[in-house]
Amino acid sequence: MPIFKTAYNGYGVKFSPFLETRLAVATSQNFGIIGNGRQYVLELTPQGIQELISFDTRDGLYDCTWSEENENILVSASGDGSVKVWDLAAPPHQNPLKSFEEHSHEVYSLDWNTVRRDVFLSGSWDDSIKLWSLGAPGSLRTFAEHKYCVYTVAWNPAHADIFASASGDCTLRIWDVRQPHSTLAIPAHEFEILACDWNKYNDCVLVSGSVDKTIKLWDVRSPREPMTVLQGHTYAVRRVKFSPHHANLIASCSYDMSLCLWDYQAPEDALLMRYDHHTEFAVGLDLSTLVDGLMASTAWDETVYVWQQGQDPRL
Amino acid sequence: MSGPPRPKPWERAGATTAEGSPFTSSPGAADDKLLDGRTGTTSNAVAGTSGSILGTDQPRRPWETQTGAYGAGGYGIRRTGLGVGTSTYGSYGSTGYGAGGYGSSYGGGGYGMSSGYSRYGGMGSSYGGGLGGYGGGSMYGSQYGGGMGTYGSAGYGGGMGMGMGMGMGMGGMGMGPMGGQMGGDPNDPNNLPPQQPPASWMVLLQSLGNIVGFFSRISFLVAANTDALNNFMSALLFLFDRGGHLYSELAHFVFKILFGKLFGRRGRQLPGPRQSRTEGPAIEGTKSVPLLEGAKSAQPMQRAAPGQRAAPAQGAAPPWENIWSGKGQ
Repeated sequence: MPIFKTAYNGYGVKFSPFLETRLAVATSQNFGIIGNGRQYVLELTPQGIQELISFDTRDGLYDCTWSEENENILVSASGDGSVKVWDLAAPPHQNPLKSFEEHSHEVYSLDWNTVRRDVFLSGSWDDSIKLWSLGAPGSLRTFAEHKYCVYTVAWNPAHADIFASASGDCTLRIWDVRQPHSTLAIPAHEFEILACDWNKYNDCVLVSGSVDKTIKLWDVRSPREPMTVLQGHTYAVRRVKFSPHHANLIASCSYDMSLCLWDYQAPEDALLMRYDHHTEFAVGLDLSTLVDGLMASTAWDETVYVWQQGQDPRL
Repeated sequence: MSGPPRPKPWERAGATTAEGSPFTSSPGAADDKLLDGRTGTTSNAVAGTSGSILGTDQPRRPWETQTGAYGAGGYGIRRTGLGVGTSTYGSYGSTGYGAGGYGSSYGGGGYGMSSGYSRYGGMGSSYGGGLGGYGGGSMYGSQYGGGMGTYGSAGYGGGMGMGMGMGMGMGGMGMGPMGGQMGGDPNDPNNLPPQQPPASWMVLLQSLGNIVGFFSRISFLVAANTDALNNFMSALLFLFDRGGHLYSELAHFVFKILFGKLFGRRGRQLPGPRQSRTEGPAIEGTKSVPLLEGAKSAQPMQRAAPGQRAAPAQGAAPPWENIWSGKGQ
């Protein structure tokens, strides 16, 4: 399957919810430490991955997400604390369409609500999470209970108002936007939690990935103990994703440069597959909701791989 | 605006709320709330801070000014969430508090033999740092390595704390200022008061220990110097040995170049081969452009091959042509 070479270091990749051949890749110069960013929109073609369009920014981009309302709208999380909205259909000079500038530090995670479809969340290193709507001039709400950087936010796929956040304060928090405070805080790991995601087929199960190299499965009905602990990565786990197609399948990527596929319900052999095609920290990962088994990854080695599960990404 | 995206796989599969799920869906209420926010009727409500789960202080922000003691600094301006946690959490050594005391790395002698006193220093060992290479026991028991790494010299007054931030218990701490009778030891987590002054026999033993330690240090220096001298001399001899080989190789090379050139000049002056070479078809075939052209025309082999095959046709056919078909015989 094809490989795409980016100009900067990859940080996040996301399949379009509308077009099965389209994906967005957020990249940052100089490993995201300092420098510019570039938002790519790529197209899978028989000739390989082609660049459809790209947008340059003055600071690194750490994450991106597609609108669930409009196939041309894309949102990027910027290192300068802004959230940039791009319209692929608009002429270049009109982009970014909007730039929400409320976070005081790097925005590190974005997630679009798949139930309501008109709002999205941003998680930032200023410890807060903000709720946005494209129609509103500013953020709708700010959730500020974390005591350290928020690394990932994830909407519950079954409820329009529920989301989870993973933070460097070693807690997972569950939020209900109708409530004034977070509804649950799980001290999930002993080290910073970098990633979380909800099970698409069970609205009570979520997964977290941490600097302690483990992936833990949690049931919000019994949050005292993790359901399962998956061990196999040798460095911090940067992203975890539940498969949109299989209830027990989890994909993860890590600073050990590998990606893993897990079956969390298999008691012994949870690790199904390990991909080691990246030569630098693997930090971006997504599973297509439209094509079963289609995966994409990006890493600091400035590559984007798209491949079918079970195949070698390099072929 | 286009229509909504295709239903998600889990929606098609009819995934519903799990049994006993604490979550409820009431889109209406949420809509109202969000709408309020959108129209600006409610000021951007900030969820209050409540429910502190971890009472502990959080580490400093990556972008905050880093003191010398904090963080390895390698990642500098912006931490990338990659969990260089080592700088924050350090690695906790396993050795205990006593034995090495404030530790001379030279295996005790008088240093920290009696653990009680060594805890309060007074030895002023300038080797407190223990450069790793000298092995264990250094530092205030590496048990506290993590702490020191994190807080660096802050707690140590006049200490020279390097506070590498790696929690490895580095940094010469220079025990002088700690003295023997300071009220409470900042290294002591229980902050116990100092013990009673030592009895006379203890002092005697201690001074004996000091003397032994002093001589052990001298003997160590002598031993180390001898070793170093030996190493140096053997390295020098080895160098000379190798040098001989090197010079012979060099000479060989130079002679080869000199005589090679001489022979080469003579060879070129011969007229016969020169003519035959310029007219030779094989050389033409390989030198000429067809190979490049072939590459451009996407038929490289076809273009290159004719160039080489056509050439003999201009001159006489070589006698080995068609040897296998029997025509050449």
